[in-house]
Amino acid sequence: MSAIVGVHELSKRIGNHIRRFRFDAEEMSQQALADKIGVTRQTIIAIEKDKYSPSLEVAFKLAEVFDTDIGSVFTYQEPK
Amino acid sequence: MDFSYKEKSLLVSLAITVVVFGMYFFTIFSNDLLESGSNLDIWDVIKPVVLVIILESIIQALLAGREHEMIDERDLLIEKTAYKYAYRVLSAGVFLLIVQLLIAGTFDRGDIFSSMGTVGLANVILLLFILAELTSFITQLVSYRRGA
Repeated sequence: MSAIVGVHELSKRIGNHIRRFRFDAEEMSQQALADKIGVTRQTIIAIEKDKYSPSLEVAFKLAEVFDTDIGSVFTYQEPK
Repeated sequence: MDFSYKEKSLLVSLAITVVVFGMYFFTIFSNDLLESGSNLDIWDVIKPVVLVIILESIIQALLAGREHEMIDERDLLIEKTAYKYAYRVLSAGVFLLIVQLLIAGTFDRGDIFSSMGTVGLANVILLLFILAELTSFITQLVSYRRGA
């Protein structure tokens, strides 16, 4: 496998459960979550659709908002 | 279609650049104004640049007044990717221009810019900058539309 991996390819391996966490948090809106994290609503949409992998800082902030650890919010699938 | 503030801003920049510089280069190329000895001077080159700056400032201010959205890490990443593509377009253009001038200088033939004065050559370089700028706008718009 090539050592250099494209961002889009990488984001496909990193999944997340943000939609479920938002639902559990009394159906928190994407805008409300975006405001808490300090990003745009479009970024939250892109993360939820696995089209964008956020920075570690944003990932930690997301986990903090849902009062959980980063491993519960994000998943990483080893390439086959 | 639902456009974000950033997308609207990019569309405005793209439209202004295409209209102003499209008209400018159309006038220049269709009237052979790049020929050496034509009436074209440095102010003819500066005018569209100033016009774009003024139009951009007015429309972007109006847009920002109506809706404002912050810029985050994803916007910066998209911008960085767009600059990468724009740089490639600019580099390729400048490289081809240098090669053309070197070949023409070495073999004393095939110089497509020989009939141009310095202002003419400055216009070719300006065209390369505009193409790079358009590449940047289009790359960003495509990235936002794809939701990347």
